[in-house]
Amino acid sequence: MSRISNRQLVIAFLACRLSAEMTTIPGEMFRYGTDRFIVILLAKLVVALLYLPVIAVTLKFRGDSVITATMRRNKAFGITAGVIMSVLLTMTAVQTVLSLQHYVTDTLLNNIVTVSGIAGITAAAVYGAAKGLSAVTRSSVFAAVIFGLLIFLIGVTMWDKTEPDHLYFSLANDRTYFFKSLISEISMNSEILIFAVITDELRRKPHRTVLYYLPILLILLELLNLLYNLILGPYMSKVEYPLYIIASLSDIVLFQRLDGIDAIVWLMCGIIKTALLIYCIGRIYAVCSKKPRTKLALTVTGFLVFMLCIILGSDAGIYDRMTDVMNSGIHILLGGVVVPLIVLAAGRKKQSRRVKKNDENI
Amino acid sequence: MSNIKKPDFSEKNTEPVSNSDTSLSSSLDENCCAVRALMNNSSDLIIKYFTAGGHRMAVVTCEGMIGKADLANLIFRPLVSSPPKIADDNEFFCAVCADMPIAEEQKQVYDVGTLCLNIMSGFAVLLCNGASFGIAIGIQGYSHRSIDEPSTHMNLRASREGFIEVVRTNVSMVRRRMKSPTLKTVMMTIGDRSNTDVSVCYLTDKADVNTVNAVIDKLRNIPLNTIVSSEYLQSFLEPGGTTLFSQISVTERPDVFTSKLYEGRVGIIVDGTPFALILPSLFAENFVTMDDYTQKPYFSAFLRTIRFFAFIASAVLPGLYVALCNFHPEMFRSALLLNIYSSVQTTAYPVFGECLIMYILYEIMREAGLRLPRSVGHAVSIVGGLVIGEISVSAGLMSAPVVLIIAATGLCSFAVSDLYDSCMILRLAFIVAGGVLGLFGITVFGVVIFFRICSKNAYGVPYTAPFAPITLKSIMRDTFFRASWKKLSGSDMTVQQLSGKAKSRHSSERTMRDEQNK
Repeated sequence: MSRISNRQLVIAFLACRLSAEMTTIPGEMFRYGTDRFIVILLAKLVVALLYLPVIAVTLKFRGDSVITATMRRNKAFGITAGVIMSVLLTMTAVQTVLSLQHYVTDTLLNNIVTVSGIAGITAAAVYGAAKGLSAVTRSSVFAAVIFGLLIFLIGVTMWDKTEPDHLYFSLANDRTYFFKSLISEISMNSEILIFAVITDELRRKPHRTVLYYLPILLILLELLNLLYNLILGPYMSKVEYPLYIIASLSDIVLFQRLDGIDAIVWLMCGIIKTALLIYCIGRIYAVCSKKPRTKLALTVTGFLVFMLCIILGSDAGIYDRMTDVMNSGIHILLGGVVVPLIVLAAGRKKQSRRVKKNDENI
Repeated sequence: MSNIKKPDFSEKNTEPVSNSDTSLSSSLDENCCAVRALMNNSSDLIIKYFTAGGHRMAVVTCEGMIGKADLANLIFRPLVSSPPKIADDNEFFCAVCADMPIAEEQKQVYDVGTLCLNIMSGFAVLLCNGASFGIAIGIQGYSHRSIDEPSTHMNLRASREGFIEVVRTNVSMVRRRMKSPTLKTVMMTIGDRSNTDVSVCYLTDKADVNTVNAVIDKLRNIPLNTIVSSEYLQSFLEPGGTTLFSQISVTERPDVFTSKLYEGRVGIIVDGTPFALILPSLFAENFVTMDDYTQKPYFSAFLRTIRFFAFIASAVLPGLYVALCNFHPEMFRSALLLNIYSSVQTTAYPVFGECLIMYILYEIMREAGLRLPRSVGHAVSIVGGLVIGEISVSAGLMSAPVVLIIAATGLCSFAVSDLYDSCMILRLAFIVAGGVLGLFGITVFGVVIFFRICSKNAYGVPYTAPFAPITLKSIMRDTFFRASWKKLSGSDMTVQQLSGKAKSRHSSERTMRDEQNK
């Protein structure tokens, strides 16, 4: 098994998170004002707390992931945890693909057939997952470079359109919006599920990933929000995809607008995220079945994701309900907090039983 | 030549009189007959009988493979004029072998197969009646191309010497540039029929031992009968089989070869070809030339960036143009859009078809120009440039922007000549992806390509290093930017350091535990 560095995983996580930032935020979450600066800061603090159980598992079980740790203790418990995590990861993958598909049809290709869009994204993601974790995480470096290029170009072309007056400091007076926005911001951190599954594939201490990732993400999101506020101002709440709109206003010498590059970046990030999610499901299968990661398992997972996307994506009602469930952050709580806490508790119980037995023997 | 393989002559059509394992006897006539039989009485086999000090002797050679002056001066003259005064045939021949140093490369042969292999490698084999062995004397004198400026990888200020077809001369060129005892060359013979000499070169204190062993093992197990070019070996050495981007680089330049060895790589020189192989090779190295090190760092950085953008443009530009024309015309500037629209309106084919046809025509012209004699090649340029380029536009078959884009991408691909074949395939694929699904198709295909190249590990080194995994020190040292020689001389860096594997107690513990679990 080839291991990856914390740095690689941090960049991959950033790609995942930025993709989610762009493609899953509903328009009403993007309100004009400074509320979102506070929301982002608070959300990151909460997310840091949510990472603690997984970090505790890796520290307690010498770098083991949640699934590996459970499988080592009890096979039945391991398989149950594996199934729960697989379902959560599959649902996250479905939501990611559907969001990407909507994003693509809303912005890039309004005449694309839904099936071909979903099939293209899923097939690329399965291919990436089959190539391995190193391939996916290394690819995210290139996505990050293109993202950096996009932001640079936007900065160069839009600096004269920024309006510092748009920044006014008012405290949030709509608490419902504030909490809804906070929960939505927290729920977008599905990387915690990925982290829980692949910590044993990291070369160094896994908690370093979180130590690097969260501060960088916080700065990036705050900067993006600043950009939205400075350029869009009062129009922020009117647009569905703020960065896409800003990019479409950019005029570089070669192209009249940059929305194409924007769409390319988010699509790349989305495919990388989906590939990571599918890889994690394959990894769970490999750990639970004690077989090496097979391309067949990944292909089956990809097909399952594709079929679920077709079924759920065809009905707007079901899709909205699923989005509501995912936006509530229940998948993060369950996979990122509850399962690791149970693993910790089971580990402690087993340890205490062993100590008791030793005492009896003495 | 200690590990020379014995040739397999199992498919002989003539009457089998002897085989390669037949030992030499004490009879000179029998030995000569055995050699003739094994060589099927080939017309280029020369056996010259003579008498020295009263002993019957013979020199066996292959026509054109030895230096005639060396033969006369080093063998015939000393033996005939001042032979050892010993009566017994065997003792006489042993004395010749021990006390008369004829040439610097001199060894004894005991069987007919080895004898034949030696004479085919340019040795002269001395036989004596009464002695059951021969003396192979290295007086190679076959004609070969003189050392010349390489035809590929041209440079402005770097060395003008290029490899030639003779492996030993090439090794000597490397040795001349690296006068270090740590430079080791391992000579091997590969190919059951061709018995091609292959030299594996590396620096013992720089190259990874596992890589060297893996390369030598792979070379030993190559199942080819005939090897006439280094490219024959490439697919066997390539990790993961044939791929779009090769992890083995090819060079005709001894200076490049030597500098790569210094970075801890393994070089392979094959007899009969001036193109040497170097492995592992990284993606970023395709944008580096020897001139970058003879020019100012800022100029090198500029040129490397230009090459990189040339590669991107060469692969993506036609596909991007098709995608934008068909699906996202709003991205063009208004004036450009109007021009494109007017030219597209006057042509017979859609942009996608136009681009495909033009691209295929361009590749046909390039291929035709490459293989034809120079005088006819000019005619191809005229036909390509004037007739197809200009007339097709004026006849309304092609639009001018498409001709311009295909020509520009063709030009760009020559800026990164090492990646030409990869670019050729990528360009076609991107045209199809852009034509069918627009930017979405280009992005999805692009991500697949990223996954593909990022998954490659050439002998433990990621192909995309030092960008992914990121090694900041190396990126700033010699990738897009080349540090000044003052900085470069401060620290040595080998290719293995780009693997991104920083070993820690934690990881080694887990690795041990994984192995225990297995």
